[in-house]
Amino acid sequence: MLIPCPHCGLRPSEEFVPKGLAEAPRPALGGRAKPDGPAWQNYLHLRDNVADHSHEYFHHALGCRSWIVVHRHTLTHEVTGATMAADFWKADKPAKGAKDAKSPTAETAEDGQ
Amino acid sequence: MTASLPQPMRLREGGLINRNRPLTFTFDRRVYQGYEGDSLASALLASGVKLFGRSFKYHRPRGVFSAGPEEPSALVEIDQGKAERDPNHRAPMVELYDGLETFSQNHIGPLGLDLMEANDLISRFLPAGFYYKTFFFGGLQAWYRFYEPIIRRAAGLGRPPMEADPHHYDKIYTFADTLVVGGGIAGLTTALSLARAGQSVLVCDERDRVGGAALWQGERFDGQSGAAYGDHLVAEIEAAGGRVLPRTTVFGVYDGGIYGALERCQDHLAKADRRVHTARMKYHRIQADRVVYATGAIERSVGFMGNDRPGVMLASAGHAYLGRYGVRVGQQPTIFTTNDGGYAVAAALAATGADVTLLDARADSRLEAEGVRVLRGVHATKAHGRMGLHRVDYGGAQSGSLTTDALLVAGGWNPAVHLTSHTNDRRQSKPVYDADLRAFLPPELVDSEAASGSVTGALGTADCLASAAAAAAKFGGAALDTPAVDEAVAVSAPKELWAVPGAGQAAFLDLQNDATVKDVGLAAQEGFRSVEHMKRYTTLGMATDQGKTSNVNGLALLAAATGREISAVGTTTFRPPYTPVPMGAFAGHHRQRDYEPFRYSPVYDWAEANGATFVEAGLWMRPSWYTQAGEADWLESAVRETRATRDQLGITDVSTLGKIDIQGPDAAEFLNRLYTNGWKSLPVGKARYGLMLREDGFVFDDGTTSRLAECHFYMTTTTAKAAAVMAHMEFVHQSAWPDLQVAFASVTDQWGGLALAGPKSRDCLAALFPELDVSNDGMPFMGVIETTWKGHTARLFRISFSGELAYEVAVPADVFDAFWREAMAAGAQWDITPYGLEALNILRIEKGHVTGGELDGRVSMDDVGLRKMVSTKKDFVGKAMSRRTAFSDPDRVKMIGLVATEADERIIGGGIVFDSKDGPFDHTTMLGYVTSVAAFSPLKDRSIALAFIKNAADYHGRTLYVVSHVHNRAIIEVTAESPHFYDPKNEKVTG
Amino acid sequence: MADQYGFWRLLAEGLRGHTGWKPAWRDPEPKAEYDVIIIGGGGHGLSTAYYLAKNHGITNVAVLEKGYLGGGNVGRNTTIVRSNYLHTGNVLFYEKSLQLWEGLSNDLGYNVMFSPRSIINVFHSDSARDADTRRGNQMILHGADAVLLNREGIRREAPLVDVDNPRFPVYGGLKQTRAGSARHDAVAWGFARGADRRGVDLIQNCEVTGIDVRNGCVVGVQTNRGPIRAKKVGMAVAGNTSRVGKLAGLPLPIESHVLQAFVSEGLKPMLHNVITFGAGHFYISQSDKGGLVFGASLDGYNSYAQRGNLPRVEHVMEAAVSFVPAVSKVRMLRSWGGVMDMSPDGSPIIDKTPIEGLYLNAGWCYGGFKATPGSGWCFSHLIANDSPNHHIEQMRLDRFETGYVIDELGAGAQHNLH
Repeated sequence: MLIPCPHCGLRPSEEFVPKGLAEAPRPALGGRAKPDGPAWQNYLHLRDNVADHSHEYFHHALGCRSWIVVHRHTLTHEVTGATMAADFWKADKPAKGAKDAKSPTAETAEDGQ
Repeated sequence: MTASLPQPMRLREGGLINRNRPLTFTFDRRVYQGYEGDSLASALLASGVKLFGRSFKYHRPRGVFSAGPEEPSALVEIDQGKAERDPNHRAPMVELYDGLETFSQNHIGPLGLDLMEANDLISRFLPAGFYYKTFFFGGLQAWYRFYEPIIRRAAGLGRPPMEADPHHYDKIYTFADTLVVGGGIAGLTTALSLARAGQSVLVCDERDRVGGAALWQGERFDGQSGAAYGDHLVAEIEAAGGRVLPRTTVFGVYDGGIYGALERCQDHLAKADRRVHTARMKYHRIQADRVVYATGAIERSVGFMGNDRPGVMLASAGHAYLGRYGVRVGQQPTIFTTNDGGYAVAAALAATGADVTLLDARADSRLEAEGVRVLRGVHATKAHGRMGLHRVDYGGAQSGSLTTDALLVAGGWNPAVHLTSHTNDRRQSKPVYDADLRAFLPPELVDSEAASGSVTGALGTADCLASAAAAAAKFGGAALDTPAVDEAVAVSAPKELWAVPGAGQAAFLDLQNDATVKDVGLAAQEGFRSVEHMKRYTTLGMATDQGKTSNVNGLALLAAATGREISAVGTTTFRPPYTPVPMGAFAGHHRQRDYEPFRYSPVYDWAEANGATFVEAGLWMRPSWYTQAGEADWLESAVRETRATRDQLGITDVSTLGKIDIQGPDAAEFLNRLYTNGWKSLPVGKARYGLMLREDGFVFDDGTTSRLAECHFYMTTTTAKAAAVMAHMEFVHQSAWPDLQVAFASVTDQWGGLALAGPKSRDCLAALFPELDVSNDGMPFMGVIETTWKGHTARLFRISFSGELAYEVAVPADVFDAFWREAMAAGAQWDITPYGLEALNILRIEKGHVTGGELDGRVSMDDVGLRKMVSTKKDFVGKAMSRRTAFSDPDRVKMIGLVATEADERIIGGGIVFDSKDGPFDHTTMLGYVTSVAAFSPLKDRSIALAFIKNAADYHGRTLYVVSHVHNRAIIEVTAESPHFYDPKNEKVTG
Repeated sequence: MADQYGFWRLLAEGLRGHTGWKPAWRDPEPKAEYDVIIIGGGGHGLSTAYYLAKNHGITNVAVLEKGYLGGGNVGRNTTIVRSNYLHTGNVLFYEKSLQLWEGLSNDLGYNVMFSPRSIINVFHSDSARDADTRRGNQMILHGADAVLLNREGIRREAPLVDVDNPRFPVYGGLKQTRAGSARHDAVAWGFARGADRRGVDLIQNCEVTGIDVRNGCVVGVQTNRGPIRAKKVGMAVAGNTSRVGKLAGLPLPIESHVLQAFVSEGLKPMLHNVITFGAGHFYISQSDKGGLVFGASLDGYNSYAQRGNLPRVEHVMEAAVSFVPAVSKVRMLRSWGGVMDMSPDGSPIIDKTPIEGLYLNAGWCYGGFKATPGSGWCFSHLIANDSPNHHIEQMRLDRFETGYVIDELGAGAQHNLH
């Protein structure tokens, strides 16, 4: 598998360490989200986990050390792009393959209390 | 050289062998001769050998069935000796060399008299899946101790090597614009066209020479033989900048245009010619933008009784042995065909003077072959000859019996579609059945893939060349002149005939696993209707050949038995590798000592020269203890080092600790978010102990971090977690707080570090840095000074892991060895003592400091008594999750110290703590467990330990028992107390 | 029962040409309503149906399988059976499962070839020895068996292991004598046959396309073969848990990852036990057919494809030849991938869901095969009684909210680290 690191270009997958699906942003610091509420649970535990286009964290550990979000199909393994993790949760982040974008910012993902 | 040995089946002329270069080899210790250019199979056939081996299940005698990698039957061991023995080689794929030693396998007694053939006599009682239905009597123990050992001994094929492999293997990254898999004429033609168009082209062919079926089929290209034309194409490809790798099997297709290939570099050479420093095999990881599948097609057989007898083989095999090796597989051969292709081999054999009969299953065929007696509308019904074919019965339009010594079966062609369905980067990855061709064809190919030659279903040379041109055109190849082909082989799609009428138990489909036509019927009868069920129930296609000659017949018969179309039944999934690959080839040089790299401290050499015994700590090699003359064991050394440190002065290497340099205006804020405690108030020139949680609230790591300047921090982590902490920091920074203005880099390898510990450590430090004030006022506890040592930056930290007055000094790694030696010299007046991990462990357990044994990823801050490390004023990673219910459960185990009652008893690490020595000992009565043990604590004059138990606070001062059932239920009496055995008020470190 | 398997039956059928064997299970049309529907005809679904009928007398049960029976991970694993776990939440359950394995062939009347050839986890450091000592003691305290081996013990029990490995020398190992391996397909087929003979309808090629919920209670499912009603529905679809869960609107703590497995060409007996490398992920055993069966850890990326990639293959082989150098020449015959339901703590979930009547059996990570009988035993109890038995009390769905995780490795809440 080849991973298109936004910083380094197309690199072999063994330079990267995958972490898992990037489906929800980290709840904001000092926020009121409860540990058993949806914001934290969505960030840490719960996953859509679709057999479709997905967003997934990879660490370019043996490269530029960037954390990136790879846009990849989990059934065909087709890679359609990658975003720097630093840009991913910004409001104007690129749309995900065939899926709608997630909640754009950490703040809106609070438990809504 | 020995006198010429007889090769009765060898023709005087013909073939691609060098009759001037005879080669001597052995099979089952008997000496034979063949020629340069032979395979083991062709040389043995030439010598009149028919019996090659025994089948897996029934141990039926078997000959050679094919002339290629699809061989199911003729498997041999090469070489002997526990390390050299190499089983399960396919005889057609073994290139002959002088001195080759081969052995038949899977039999008890001589090959001709295998005692296990008894299985064949009772084969009617051993149908598919018989083992699921019996062996109940006596229950589990009878199965394990009696039935199963018998099965295990009978099963298996060759004898395994039992010692380390003396060979070595290389891994190579190989790049090409276009990879062409298969060096038959079609593949080479496509490759040449692409190479001429300026592409970097790589052709891999699994055989020892290119040309594919043209090596033996007899067609001519512009008047040249297939072999000559193939060589011509190779020369042209190379002239155009392309590469052709023979003996290289592309075994798998992976994501991202990556292909696995195995190049066999040495096995074909005589032993004397093998180069010691060259790899036996090279594993290529090929990166290519485009691929051309030119993998050819594999002939299939037909199910009839005795179709496995030695002497029955694929028609293409008989043709290949004749055309390529000059071996006539029978004087009186019979061809049994379902298509026009059988006529070519019949004619070729007749041309050698053989007495040839052809059984054509089609009544309506009008083809003739010169010198061949043709019976139409007739199929073979039974082959006779246990050790070698001598007669075949036929039926159909007419029935009868023929005397014959070879039966060549042409059941049609299966395109070698395996690689085309390894990935599913297209929606439909399974092969597609073509009812007209009666063959599975590749699925729809994506833009980066093309197919060339008979893998496309093309029959005949002209069609194959047309497909080669089409494949080249798909990738923008240059136009080539098409050679004039003298088509020697008549071709047609076969009549649909998977098994002849009445074929039963001894009509084989999978010759290696002995799966029969009847087995497929039985599977259907018992409801195993899915093709996967049939495969698994009958084991058809699960042998070393992966069913290359049997799968399609099996699933077609399943379709018939269950009243479905073949396309509805479908194939099982083709899995890599296409042909088996030695495990060692994938490993390359990353084995044994080089399995993982070593990491060495800059003072490794010093430690080694000074008696250190090293221990693996992750990738690091760390001194465990330093042996001095007269010391009996590690404990004696470690206790001496501990005492010396407590009483005088110890020195230890802390270079392996993770070190992270953090800079930026938001550095303090960043640390504030990472650590549980606060960092903004830390003054410049001070260090602080920090505790990090994982995002899920459990303790992640600890260490000290120092403020070197307003916006500059120097973090240390544990050795084990250094990489994980760095990755974690990068993750939260980049994914959650990219707005923080902070940058950080791992500097673990850039700095060497030592700790001076003990009452004389201040004196020693002062001696090393005479210009500095390192008094308690000048450098108080947790003080940090950045200075220079001989012009190099040096960082001094007053921190302590041992519980003594202690300092750590870090200098650049390249001067660390010199600095260490100077520290040893400076400390000599106080008998400075280097100590290793064992002493360090005793020191820190006495002090109650935690390490990986305690911070095992499952403990909370409270569990290890570090609640005081938590700032309530700020948020930090892990804070939210650490407020979950379970974290405040009163039943959580918490850390405590244990002291052995008896001076000569050692507490057992991993022992379980109970409050009674009488039991009952079970999971409901246990209090907790021991995490770290000091075999001997000089402080307590006995063994001490750290443990985690329930209600820990209630047990201080009470007698408990450490029980280890895995140590013969040892019971050790201990007293519980605070884990901070040594200097609980921290007077030593702060004084 | 007339269609009993056994030695005399095999003999009799051999004499009459095997014409008397009946289908191993019926091929029924789905009825309009069942008492219980089990989604998923893999090992766990089939064993759940079997024990629902056998232990709880509930026989009006349908198992709905979108493909063929036993086509999930039960048909593509490395067949290791063991109960050598550290945590109470795991060892209680897996030990129950192991005990069921020990009598399974005779209970089912189907030879699942469970072979207690022992498993040895080799360790390479003092701290790993302490950790394995603790684990071995925990196992014994929970009714399992464990033996701590020193270096000589490893030499004796597994002579092909490179005890003097120049990079990571072997210190010893933790052995569970009663552990072993079994024939994976036979387990699925044996449970299928047993369930079928007790009246359970096993319905293949029946894909569940919807889960009908009314007022917070499950009322049935939609399938490609029409709607089927039931007041109790159990999900046992590891590998597809998220997809099926979504049909009921359940957010689940599962990521799907691919785990590769490998088998070598058949060889005469070479390795007796199941052995695992402690200096890298790797385990290996030899099947009754003679193939070496081995594997390691996840490829790491999220995947629903039943195949992996070369970096993991290389890593597995490097560990293999470092651990058991004699396998270097042995040829790998076939590789494949299984889709693992990875939970955030590496342990499974067998629990009720917020939807009444909908039960969840998921998150098996690598551990599903050995759990097959235990999972069915416990899941059927949960479905029949609407409450868990003591073996699965800790395998709760809400443990990620409460923090009562069962983190066997201590790796934390990251699905692919377990």
